[in-house]
Amino acid sequence: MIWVLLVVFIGFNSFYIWSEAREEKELAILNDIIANYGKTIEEETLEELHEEIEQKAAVLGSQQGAAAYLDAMTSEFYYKQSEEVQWQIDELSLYAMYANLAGQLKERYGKVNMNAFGEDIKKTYSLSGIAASWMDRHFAQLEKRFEKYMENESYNEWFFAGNPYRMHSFLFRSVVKMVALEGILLAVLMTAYLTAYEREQRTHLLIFASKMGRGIMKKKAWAAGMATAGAGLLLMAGTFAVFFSFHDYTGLWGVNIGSGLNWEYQAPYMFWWDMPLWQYLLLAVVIIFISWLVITFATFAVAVGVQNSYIVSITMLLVLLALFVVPSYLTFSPLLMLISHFNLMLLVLNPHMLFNGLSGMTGFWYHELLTLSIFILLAIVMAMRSMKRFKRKDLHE
Amino acid sequence: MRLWWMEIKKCFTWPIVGLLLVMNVLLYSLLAEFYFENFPNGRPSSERFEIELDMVERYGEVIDDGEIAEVRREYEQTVEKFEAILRDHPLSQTAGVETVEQYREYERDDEAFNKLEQVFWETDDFDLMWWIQSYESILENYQYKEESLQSQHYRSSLEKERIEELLANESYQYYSSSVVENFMTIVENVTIIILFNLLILLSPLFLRDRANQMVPLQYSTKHGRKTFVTKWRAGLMLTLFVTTVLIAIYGMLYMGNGTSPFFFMQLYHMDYVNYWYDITFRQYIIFVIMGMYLISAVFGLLVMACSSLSRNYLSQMAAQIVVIGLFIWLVIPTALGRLFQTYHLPWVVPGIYAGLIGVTIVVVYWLLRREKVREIT
Amino acid sequence: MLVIENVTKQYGDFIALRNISLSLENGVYGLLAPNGAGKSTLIKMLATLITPTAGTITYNGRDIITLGEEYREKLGYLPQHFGYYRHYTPVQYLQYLAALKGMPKEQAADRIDEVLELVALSDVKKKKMRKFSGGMIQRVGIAQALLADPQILILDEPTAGLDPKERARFRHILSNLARTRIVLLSTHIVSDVESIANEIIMIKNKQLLYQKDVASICATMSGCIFETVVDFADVADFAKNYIVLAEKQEAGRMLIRFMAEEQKPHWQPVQPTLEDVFLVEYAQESTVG
Repeated sequence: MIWVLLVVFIGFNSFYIWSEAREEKELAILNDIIANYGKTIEEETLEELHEEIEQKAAVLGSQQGAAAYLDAMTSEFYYKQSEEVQWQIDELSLYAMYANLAGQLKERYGKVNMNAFGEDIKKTYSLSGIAASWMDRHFAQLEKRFEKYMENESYNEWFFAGNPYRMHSFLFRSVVKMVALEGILLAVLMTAYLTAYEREQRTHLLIFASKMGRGIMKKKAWAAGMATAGAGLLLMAGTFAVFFSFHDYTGLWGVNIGSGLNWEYQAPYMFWWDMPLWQYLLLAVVIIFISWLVITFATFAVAVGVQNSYIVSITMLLVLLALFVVPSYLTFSPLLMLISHFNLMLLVLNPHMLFNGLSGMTGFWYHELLTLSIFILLAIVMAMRSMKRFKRKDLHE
Repeated sequence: MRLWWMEIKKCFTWPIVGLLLVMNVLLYSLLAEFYFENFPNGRPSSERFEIELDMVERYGEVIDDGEIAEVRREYEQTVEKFEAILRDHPLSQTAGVETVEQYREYERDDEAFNKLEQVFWETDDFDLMWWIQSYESILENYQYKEESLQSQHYRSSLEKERIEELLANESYQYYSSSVVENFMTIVENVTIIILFNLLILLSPLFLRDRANQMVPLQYSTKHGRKTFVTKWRAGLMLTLFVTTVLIAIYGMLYMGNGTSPFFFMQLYHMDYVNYWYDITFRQYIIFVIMGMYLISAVFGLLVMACSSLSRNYLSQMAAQIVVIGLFIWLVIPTALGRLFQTYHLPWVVPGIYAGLIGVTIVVVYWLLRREKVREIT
Repeated sequence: MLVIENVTKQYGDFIALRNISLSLENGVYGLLAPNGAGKSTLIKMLATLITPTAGTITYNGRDIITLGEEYREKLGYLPQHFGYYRHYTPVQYLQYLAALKGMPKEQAADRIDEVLELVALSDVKKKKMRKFSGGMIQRVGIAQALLADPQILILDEPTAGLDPKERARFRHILSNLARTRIVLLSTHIVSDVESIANEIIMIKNKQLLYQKDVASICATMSGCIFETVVDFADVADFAKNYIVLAEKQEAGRMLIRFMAEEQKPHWQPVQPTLEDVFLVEYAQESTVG
């Protein structure tokens, strides 16, 4: 049955990706640009790009140059052209869009005021005391990072235009988050089932009295971990295979994820360091895998105590839901709220905001590392404790 | 009857009751709370709602030119009041802002103006701007009442006919859609909450006894294989009970939103979405509640069907995840969220209900027949 | 009278029981057979949990499946493995089963006290079954089988987990009940039925071997069971030639009880017991299985 669920999940993800897929031809343009002009945006190459655009406009029969040609474009005119010409016009406008966006980056980032974001956060969450000074320190640090970012002109790299494509959000906020959630469901169900198996099959008296005895629980923990990792791997592999077959990322793996073109909403992404896309994806995947394993071991710890797979899986899912909901109820204490944001669920459910200094209360330097460490420790302590209790637990019919 | 009651009681074990309580608190805060605490949602929605409440009381559901003129006068009074404040305020004098028009159009970069805006924002004076905006949207809505119906593109010829009928009968929208929208969001989310309750409560219905080897004992007693039917009845009763209790609780919470003055109103006066039939908000609410009952009955029966087929809780939960996913993403948004709306042809949504009910009846009938001769090994 | 006529049970190609005919009147019937012989299949058919592929089972001349409720009302059944709710007390559990058995509530309450007294569980009747021992659970199971004062009592391995004292007590209860009832007792513990069974039913290779009283069954082996004393060193050789039924050390040598077609010198003929017949009949099966 778990296989069926896995297949349903992959099927659902594929359907979702298919229904939301961006136009392949349009995305391919960026790959062409990167192939021709390199991944970094430089003044000379931008110049060459502009020249190419003018040439393309000339081919289309424009005399006043590309900008004027596109300005004068009407839908009536557009729909009168053959499909081939329509595509040429599309291509021209997309090239022009990229060239335009690239040209504006410096100006756009020049207007960014890091401290204003900080003040905003403090106001919306009405932070005071320790929490406020914590936030100040965070923004002082982020300011430094931003200065370095500006100095290196890290924004000057090609990326799918944040607006309109929002590929970062699509991949991480939608697809990877979905995968993360599905993986959690699989992990909890499988672990609860495995751990309570002997009790539910009524083989517990036999098994726990054997030579291996209650030590078999330790093996079950590993088995649950392996099952989670295996199912998660299949889920990810299946989903990514579909995603990347719809969207060509060939030229982009080395591109800085913090590229200025990847600015989707009001605030830019301000990652703590310049990392290529492949690194970001890898880190997100690793974080999600670790989170799955943490959840697996926590489920294991509960299941060892409760020994009823149904109660255990529902309890765990509710606990995880609570973890997600509770921070918004701690408005009475800024400090508690701050602490509650070192939260596994917020990590798992915001894979597009990892290592992003501008992600509200979860933007702190080392936030990811700290959160994971806390929860790994928690899960291990829970599992050890429940194992210790289980060793001496009375077992009945 | 006694057995039926015993089966019902068996569903309420302490761990399950505890989990249900926790889950309901969580789901309330996640899916419902916001729409009760934030209705009308933000400004100027709250001002507009207040004005409209006043209008309903005075003019009823249909607004004529004379009545809208009265609203216009109120609007002008509000504008005057605001402009009087502007004229007297030293900061606006330095900024050279005297009228609402100017206040709106002023350059964002003007320092004197920014200062004024800052001060206004922090006092109640600015509230008048919200009122002005609200009045304007009401007036504008009235002005374009025909166009807003006409300008839609048609999904079907039937929809076109319906809209022409609305136009011919002068069935215009005078009031904002926020009431109906808020209601529908709550309805959809409450239905999701109901389904989760049913899922947790009913999943063990058959599975518990089967996993526990109770079936040979039950089926060899006088009552015998009728136990199976008894359990279905108990489950259906629980479904009705849970649905009723939750609808009652959330219904009471909903009354706190204060939309009852709109209950008598024709839907087309208060929603920009078009409906196939001329029904009032009250009638619509009744139909929607019927839909909620049908959906939860169908879902409950499907959970029970899975419970009678699954070999263990793992497969039960896995099947439930798929089923509830289908309900949340397909059934509820269409069958409930678009009930009677011209978004679909008139027979589509009733067709979905008929299909769901048909499938459920077939499945349940098949299971009942199968159980009569099933070999209990 | 419960009559089983030419009953066969088949699962696809696999035959679980072949052409069984039996008739049961009031009294204790011991159903003796090793595991896998088709014992459980027969019992499940009598409990209406499965239906025969061919043949009929009738009670007082009418098919038990057609009788339905009327039949099951008279049936008390203890499955080999049966379920219970860990968070229920014996009283709650029996109340539930009483309702299933169609007993009126008041009558059930008295009867529950009675049967719990009968199986000596009165002290713990308000305790949750979570911490009951295997034997206590088994007694709760016996109590539920007796609950509705059934005319037909079918017990599958009822003595599992009972201590000798309880077993004796249980045998006594059964022989009392059997005067006016059909009691079918499935077991592989020969001593459970030897003393109280009016008839023994033995199944071998999916078919009926015997339905006779103990004495007649023992008579079939009369003159074939012997005892003799052998040196330890010769025991293994001896076992190759004869079916050994029991061994006992005696004065540094081995006293062996065995089966043989003809008497030889130094062999002491003995009276066959039910256990001897059981061991002889199933000798091959036990070596195979």
